[in-house]
Amino acid sequence: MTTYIERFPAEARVIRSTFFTAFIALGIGALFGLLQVLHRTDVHRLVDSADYYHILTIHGVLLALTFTIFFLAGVFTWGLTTSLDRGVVDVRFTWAWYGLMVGGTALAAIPMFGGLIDGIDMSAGVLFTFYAPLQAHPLFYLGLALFIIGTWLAGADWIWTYLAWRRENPDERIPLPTFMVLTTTLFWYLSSLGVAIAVVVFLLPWSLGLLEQVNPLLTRTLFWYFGHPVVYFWLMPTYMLWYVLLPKVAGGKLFSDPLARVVFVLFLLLSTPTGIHHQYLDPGIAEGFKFIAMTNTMFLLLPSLLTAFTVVASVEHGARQRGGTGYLGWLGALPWRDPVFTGMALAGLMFAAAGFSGMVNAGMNINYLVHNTFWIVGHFHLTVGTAVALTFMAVTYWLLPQITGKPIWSRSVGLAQVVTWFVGMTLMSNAMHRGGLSGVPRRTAEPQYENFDFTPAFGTMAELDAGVVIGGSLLFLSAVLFLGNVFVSLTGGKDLTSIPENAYAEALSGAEDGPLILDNLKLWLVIAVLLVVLTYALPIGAIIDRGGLLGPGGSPYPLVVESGRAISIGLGEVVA
Amino acid sequence: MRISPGALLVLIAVSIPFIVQSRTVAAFIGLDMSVWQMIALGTVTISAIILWAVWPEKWLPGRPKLEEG
Amino acid sequence: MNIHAYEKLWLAASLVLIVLFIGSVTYGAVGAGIAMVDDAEGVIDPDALDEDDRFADPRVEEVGENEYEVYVVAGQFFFDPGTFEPIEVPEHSQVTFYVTSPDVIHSFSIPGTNANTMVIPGEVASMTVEVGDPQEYGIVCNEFCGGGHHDMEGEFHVVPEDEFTLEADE
Repeated sequence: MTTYIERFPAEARVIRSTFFTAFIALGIGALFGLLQVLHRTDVHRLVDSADYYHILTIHGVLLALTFTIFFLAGVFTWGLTTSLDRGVVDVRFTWAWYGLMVGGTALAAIPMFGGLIDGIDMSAGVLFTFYAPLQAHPLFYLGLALFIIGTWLAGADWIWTYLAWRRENPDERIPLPTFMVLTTTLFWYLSSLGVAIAVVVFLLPWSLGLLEQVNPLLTRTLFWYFGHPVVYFWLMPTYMLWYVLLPKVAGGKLFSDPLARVVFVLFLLLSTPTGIHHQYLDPGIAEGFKFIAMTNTMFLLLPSLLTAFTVVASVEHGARQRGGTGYLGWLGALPWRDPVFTGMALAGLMFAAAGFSGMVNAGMNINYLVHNTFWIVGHFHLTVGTAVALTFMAVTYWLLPQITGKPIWSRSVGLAQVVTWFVGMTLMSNAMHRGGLSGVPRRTAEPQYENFDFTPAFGTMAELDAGVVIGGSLLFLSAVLFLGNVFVSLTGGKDLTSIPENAYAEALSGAEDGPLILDNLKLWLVIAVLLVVLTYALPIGAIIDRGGLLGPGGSPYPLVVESGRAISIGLGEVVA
Repeated sequence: MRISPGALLVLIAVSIPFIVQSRTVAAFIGLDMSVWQMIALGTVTISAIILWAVWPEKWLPGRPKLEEG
Repeated sequence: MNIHAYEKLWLAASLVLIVLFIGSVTYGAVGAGIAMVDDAEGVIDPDALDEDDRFADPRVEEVGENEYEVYVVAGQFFFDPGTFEPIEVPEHSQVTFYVTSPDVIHSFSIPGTNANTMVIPGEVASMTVEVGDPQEYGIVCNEFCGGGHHDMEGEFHVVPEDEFTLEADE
């Protein structure tokens, strides 16, 4: 019986730091989420509606980027070192990428929070997508660039450690968790290049005044070149945990190691050439390019559908090992009392629902009905907000003891927490989807208009608002329970004897059953790059050809513009 | 109990999305269900689940019967 | 690599599902004729909309029998026309919207319908819709465009044939 902290004390310290950073982001993000649901529904408006967008920016950036990426950096470091059974090559390098990621986040946070404080003349209320010509303070772009470079160094750390292991073990198959870390890292390099170019080449120099204008369609396309694969950057560690940890806590084995590899190879190939599906309604992009992105996106369903099969089969195997019988009776034999298992299982269940609303979004012409509506917000709160976030929280109840040596304070509170999240998200997300179908926009402080009302297909708007408020409050309560449980656990003493051994699920059909070509990462990377070039070279070329590298004109719009003045300027130019 | 308390809790939680979506299904086939009707349906459903869960399992062959035990 | 029989079945069913999805979208495009907003219009200098004959005087124009074109400027935080006076078109007509922005990215969206497009400075979004019986619709911007984003709204009125007059005819 060895826990992670006993085997890898130095790495455990870094993972603790990444987790704690993630949890701070989660706490602030959850609080701001509560403020938003109260604001939008006009239950209570703590800030001016113009400041709502600063709150929304912080909520989006802290939860979608900071919480997820810090946590997954910890999970990947755990999975890699555990499965290679060797530490990182040089832990100082590991601290270096962690430090760079923290530094970048802190720099970006200054203008993000500055926008909320009257005395500070800096702001970055440009939301998670920072579409030009809306302009943030240069620190926001600089911080973002440093954060991305930090993640690149983290990837380099994992590859470096893998190569060191490879020299020591020239003939072994890549262990499954390491394989998952490496494929994810490769497509992350490929896709985050887009946002890095957008930020470093265009937006940062533009915010510093070195460039007069940018091409808004180009920077937007570069953002979505990264903006869709980034969801797989959150989802792949989640899948990894479903593949290697969920079967273990269910009491069984992974159904098939080779098919898990096939799934991750498919994600490496198909994650990036899909981003244009976020731009189905953009003028300036030909329908043909949108159609290609649509077909790629639909084929991306395949690895997720395969995952659904393998994960359910593995869990069923676990249940039968525990004495479960019957067609459905085995479900009763699963460890539902365990928040690690239940949290991950509920997250997986909600991801299935998310898959269906995602298919609507992906359906190019069907997307007209839901594009940029509240439906989309409902969708991604099921994906990143539940499949990913709930899995990460559930897995904390397993990983936190491994990296601290301290048992979880209360597993019952943990169980209540994951169930509360599930119920809260059911109510909130249902109301969001339904609101979106009646045209309620996303990203707005006051979805109440003067001259018209939204009419839901059935029921009333008031009832949808109630769903959002009750659901959002339950989610906030769940986040508080989670953070409280973590905090009290940390104040407790170490008790290594009560903590299970650090291990992950073995496979019924192991790596030796899979063809060697699956492990040929160079080959898959080359194909992935080719697919990206095939999908993106023409649209990006066409955008630059149409509007020019720096755009057909236009000025930056910092967010401090007062609305009254902006209207009169707009009218002066346009109507006069 | 037929199922463990943990399983019962999760079963109730998982029934909630089905109860919420029952309204969507009802609207789709032209039945107007109010929020209160949905809450009533939910209460009945969840009560039935709890009742089913705590009802003693029927005696399996080989197990001692109540009057024998 | 041995793949379980059930898994093969699942894989096949998944592929069928994917092909059906792509088929339904293709049918929407080819059969039902739902065109995507695309690159049909040329680029435009957002700082010089007043030099463009479509957007110097944004308006509704009759271009054929029951066919109308509407030129709209979507700016911080208004639609012109739309916000200051409703956009009016007669019932049962075919309406093509041309929308552009002088400042930041907006959208032009009519809630409750699938009339919905992004509005990007430098680009002109064009979208053709069929309108039915007389009804008053709202117009919203559903892309964040600055501190007054939530105030950006307009009206789109489909009016009875006999009540419809073009501004130019008044």
